[in-house]
Amino acid sequence: MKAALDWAELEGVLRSSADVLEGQGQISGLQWAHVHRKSWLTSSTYLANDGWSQFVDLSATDHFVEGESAKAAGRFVVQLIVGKGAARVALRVSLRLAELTLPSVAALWAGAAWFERELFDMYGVRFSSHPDLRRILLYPEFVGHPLRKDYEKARRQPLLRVGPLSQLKDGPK
Amino acid sequence: MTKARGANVQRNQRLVMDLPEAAGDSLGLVLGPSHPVLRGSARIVLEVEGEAIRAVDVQVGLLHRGFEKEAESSPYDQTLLLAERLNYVSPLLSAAGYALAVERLLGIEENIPMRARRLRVVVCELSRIADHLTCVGATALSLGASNAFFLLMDARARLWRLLESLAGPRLGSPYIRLGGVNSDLPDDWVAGFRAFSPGLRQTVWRVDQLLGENPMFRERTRGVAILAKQDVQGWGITGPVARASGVLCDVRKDNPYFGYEDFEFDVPLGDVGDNWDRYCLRMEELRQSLRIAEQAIGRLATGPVIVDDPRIVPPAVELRQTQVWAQASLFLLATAGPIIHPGEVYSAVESANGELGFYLASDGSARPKKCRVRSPSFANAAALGPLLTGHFVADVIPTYCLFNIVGGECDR
Repeated sequence: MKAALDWAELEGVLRSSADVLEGQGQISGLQWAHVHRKSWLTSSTYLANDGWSQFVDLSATDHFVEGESAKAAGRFVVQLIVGKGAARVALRVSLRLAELTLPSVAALWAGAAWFERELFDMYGVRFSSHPDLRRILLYPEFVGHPLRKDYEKARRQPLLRVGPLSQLKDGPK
Repeated sequence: MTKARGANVQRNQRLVMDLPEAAGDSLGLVLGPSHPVLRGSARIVLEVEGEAIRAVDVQVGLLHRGFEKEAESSPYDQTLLLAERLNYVSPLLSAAGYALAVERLLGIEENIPMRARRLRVVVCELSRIADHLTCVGATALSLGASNAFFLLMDARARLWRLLESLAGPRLGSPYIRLGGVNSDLPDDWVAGFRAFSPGLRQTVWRVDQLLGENPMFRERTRGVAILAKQDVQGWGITGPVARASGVLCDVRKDNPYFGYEDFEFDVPLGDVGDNWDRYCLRMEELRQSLRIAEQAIGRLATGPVIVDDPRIVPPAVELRQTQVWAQASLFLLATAGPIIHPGEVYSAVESANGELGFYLASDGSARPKKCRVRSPSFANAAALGPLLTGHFVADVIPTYCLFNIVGGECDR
């Protein structure tokens, strides 16, 4: 069993779906491959079939720049980490704010379902064909997606109104 | 893992009942969010029919503190304090995982003095012991075996006294520092440890007699919540729960850090993957962790306990009094915090619940662009719902305990 990602094979898979590898590299701890949004599911399926059966993590990074438009490319980078034995590989994809959707990989790794819910909760990424896409760490009444860089850290959304009773409009009579 | 097992699988088939379709008289039942034996809080929403569970929805997030948001707006060294509070049952393990990630981002993992690495191994293994003692103790309590619970909590209190004497607080001990540890061992610490370890072995043996030989405990754990070996990896499950199902994975063996490759220890494996296996596995890991800690104490190197690197550690007082650069680097560390060159790292350690990973991305400033925690409890909790469907209501809490879902780490 190969303990490393076969770049040539992955590129072949991407070429068959008329796409190319947008980037590849190595950081301490893992190898990474950057693919286009439309080949997210193809590449994930390739990894799952190639023996990368250990689901590890699914997260996102917000590369927000003040004053950018919703169509600016590469605002969010979603990163899926999977493992084979001791090796780890990351599949990355860039998303713009205007089209924040990805196909779900929960059918390939069951554990991804909760992590996709977390990305939906924290960044507002929508996953098509997800079995149960709702907020997971925050409450359903929460407004916004707090891990986006333009969500102010000090913003508070208490479920219970706070303040003196007399100031609560329709508080206890 | 040598205990005879008999008709476990058959028993499980008896347990997972063939539920009639749409019987129409199911009942909604909510366990939690607070429960005396749960670490942290979670709402477990059940749909039950009689005693049998038709559907489970595990709702986590009640302890969400915005760890990642906070880390992205805090200096690297201050986040260490938050990391200790991820898994508050074994705080030093989470802190060590975070410190290692920052050191790998800086590329100074090899420069950490050997004495600091050995001390980190000692406190990490003691933390793992504290975590496993709590896990088994809570499980025993949830099944009515309060005698075993008190024995285990007594051992944990002794252990916490040892950890307390290292850095002060009993919980959330600030012993791990970026680049090493806070201070060297107190004078009488090794003697205290040597007095503690035979007592712990004795406790583990007694608890194994009390629980492992108890027919009630066996009946309530054997064949319950079987996690099949082929499902483990897809769920993202790692650590003791994965090993109880027979999947060999342990970051300490796969990608050694802190010099774990220098120590002899076994990684126990289960074969069925039921609650009984998870219990046996944690009891065996208690012995193995003690074995590692004893080896590390016996092989403490001499030398400093923290790296000499002005980017993360303030220079010594003598230097600060005579050299301008030393005073300036202290000023920079105290005001801005460590400044780390652009880069990324994914670094994992074996926490008491499995692979605790940190993904850090730096853009060259004093704040990380991204600080992601790959929390083993979160992945483990995801599998609980489907696993518990078809079981009895009374099996929910013991299973939740043996999966050892710690709220602080799961909800971050």
